[in-house]
Amino acid sequence: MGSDNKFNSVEAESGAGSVDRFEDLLNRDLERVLAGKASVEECTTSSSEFADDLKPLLGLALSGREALRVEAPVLSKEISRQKLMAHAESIRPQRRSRLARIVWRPLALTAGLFVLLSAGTAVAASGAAPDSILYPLRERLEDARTTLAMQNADRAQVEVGHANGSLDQLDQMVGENKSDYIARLLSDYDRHLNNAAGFAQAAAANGENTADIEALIQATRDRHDAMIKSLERTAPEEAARTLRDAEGDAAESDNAGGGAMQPSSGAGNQPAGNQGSGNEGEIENHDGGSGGSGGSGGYEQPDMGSHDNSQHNGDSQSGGNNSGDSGHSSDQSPEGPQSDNHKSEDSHSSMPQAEPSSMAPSGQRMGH
Amino acid sequence: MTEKHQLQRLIKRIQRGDVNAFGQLYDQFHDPVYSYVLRQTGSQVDAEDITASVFLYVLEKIDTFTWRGAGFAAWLFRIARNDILDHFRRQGKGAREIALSEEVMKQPSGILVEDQAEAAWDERRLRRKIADLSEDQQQVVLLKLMMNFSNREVGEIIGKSEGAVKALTHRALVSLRKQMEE
Repeated sequence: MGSDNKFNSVEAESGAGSVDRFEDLLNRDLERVLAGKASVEECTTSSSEFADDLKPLLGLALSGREALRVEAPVLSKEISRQKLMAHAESIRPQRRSRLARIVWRPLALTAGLFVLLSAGTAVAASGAAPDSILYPLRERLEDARTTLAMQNADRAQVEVGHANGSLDQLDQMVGENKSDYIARLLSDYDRHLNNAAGFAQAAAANGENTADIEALIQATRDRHDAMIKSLERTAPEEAARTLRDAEGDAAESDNAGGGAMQPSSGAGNQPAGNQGSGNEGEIENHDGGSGGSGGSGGYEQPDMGSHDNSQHNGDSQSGGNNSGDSGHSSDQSPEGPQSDNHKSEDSHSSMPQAEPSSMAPSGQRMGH
Repeated sequence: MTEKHQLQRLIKRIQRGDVNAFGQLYDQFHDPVYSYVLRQTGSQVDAEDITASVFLYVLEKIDTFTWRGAGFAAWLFRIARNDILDHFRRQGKGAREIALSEEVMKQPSGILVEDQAEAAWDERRLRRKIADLSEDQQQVVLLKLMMNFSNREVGEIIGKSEGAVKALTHRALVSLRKQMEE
C-alpha cells in the first residue's frame, strides 16, 4: 500500500465492488460499536477481510464521539422546560381527540358563523393591541373568560394567560417604541398575575391540586424577568428608559412593602369580572378602572427566549408580530408538518391606533 | 415494548393533550438536540435559544406529525437543522464559518495529569479536523457519532439518500484519519 492511498486501501486494492461491501460493513459495525453492542475487536474479528481498514476507522469514530460530547446546562434546560410546559398547559384546552373534532367541528362552524355575524367586533377586539380603540373591549372579554371558568384553578390559569398576553403586548409595544403603553401593560401583567396567585391560593385552600398552576405562575414570572432584561438591553432608547422607570417604580413599591399580592377571602374581594359570583376565597381586583385587561388573544405565543424579537430573530415586525417570523423556513420533513413557519400569525397587527382609554393603574407591581 | 413503540405512545399522548408526556419527550431529547446545535453554532446562548425554539415548534406542530419515514427523531433533528440554517442566514454567515468553533470546545477543568492533558489535546485536534470536513461530511459525522442515527435517519435529516450517507460516512472517517495522521 503506497502512502498516497494508505487511507483508502479498500478502494485502491479491490475496486468499487469491494468499496460497497466495505461501506456496508463499516456502517453496520459503526452502529454496533457506537450503541455499545460490540467492541471494535469483536467487529474486526467478524470482518477479518477488512479488519485492518475497519479497526482504525471504528476507533476514530469512538474518539470522535468522546470529543463531541457536550453537557447541557441544567438550569437553562429547566427554565426552558418550565416555559414550554406553561405554554403546553395554555394550549391544552385547544387539543381535542379526533372523534371530538369530528363531532364538534360542524357545531363549531355554525357557532363561529354566528359569532362572526353578530359579534365580529368582539372577535376582532380579542386580539386588540393596547394602541387600538378596541382594547377596552378586549379587557372586558378577558374578564368574561375569567368569570366563565368554573374552578379557582381554572380562573388562575386564565389569569396567567392574560398576564402572558400582557407580556406579549409589552414586547410588541417596546419593539415599536410605543412608550406610552409600557406602564399600563406592566401594570396589567402584575394585576393578572396577582389575580392568578390569589386564585391559586384560594384553590389550594379549597383542597384543589395547584402544583401545575403554581408552576405556570412561576414560569410566567421567569418569562417576565427574562423579557425585561432583554428589552432593557435592546429596546429603542425611549422605550428602554420608560421600561427602566416603570421597573424602578415597581422596585420602590416592592421595597415599601406594597408589592405583595393580597388574596383574601370574602365576596368583596373578587376580580371585577367575578363580582357577584359568590365564590369564596377569591381575590381583589386592584384595577380601579376598566375592570381588567391583559392579553388572552396574545397568549398564543409565549416568549421562549429564542423568540425575543430583538435578541434572536432580529426581525421584529412593525405590524406587531411579537413572535417574529424567523421560524423554519424550510420544509421540515416528509412525514412532519409542512408548515414552514412556527410562529403564529398575529391577530392584532392591523388594528387602528388610538390612545388607550385609560391608564388604569392597578395594584402595585408584583415583586419577583 | 420497544423503544420505538414507547415513543409512539408518548407522541400519541402529547397529541391528545397530555402535558406531562410532552415533558417526558423534552427530557428525552433536549440534550441531544442541544448538543447538536451547540456543536454547530458555537454559542451556548444561541444553542439554548434554538433548542427552545425547536421544542416550541414541536409542541405546536406535533398534532400534524404522523409516523412515517425515519420517525420522530429524524423529524426533530430536521427541525433543528433548519433552525440552525435560519440562524446562520439571519446572521449573514455560512454555517461552516463557525461550525464546531473553538469556543464551545470542552475545556479541561483543574489541573490535568499528562495523559489527560494529551487526551484533551487530541480531542480538541479531532474537533478541529471535524470542522474542516465538508458540510455534508460534518453533518454525517455529527449525526452518526453524537446520536448514532441510522443512514436512513441521517438521510432524512440532511436530504440525502441512504447510499449517499453510507458513502459520506466512509469518506468522512477516511478523511479524518488521514488528517489526524498528518
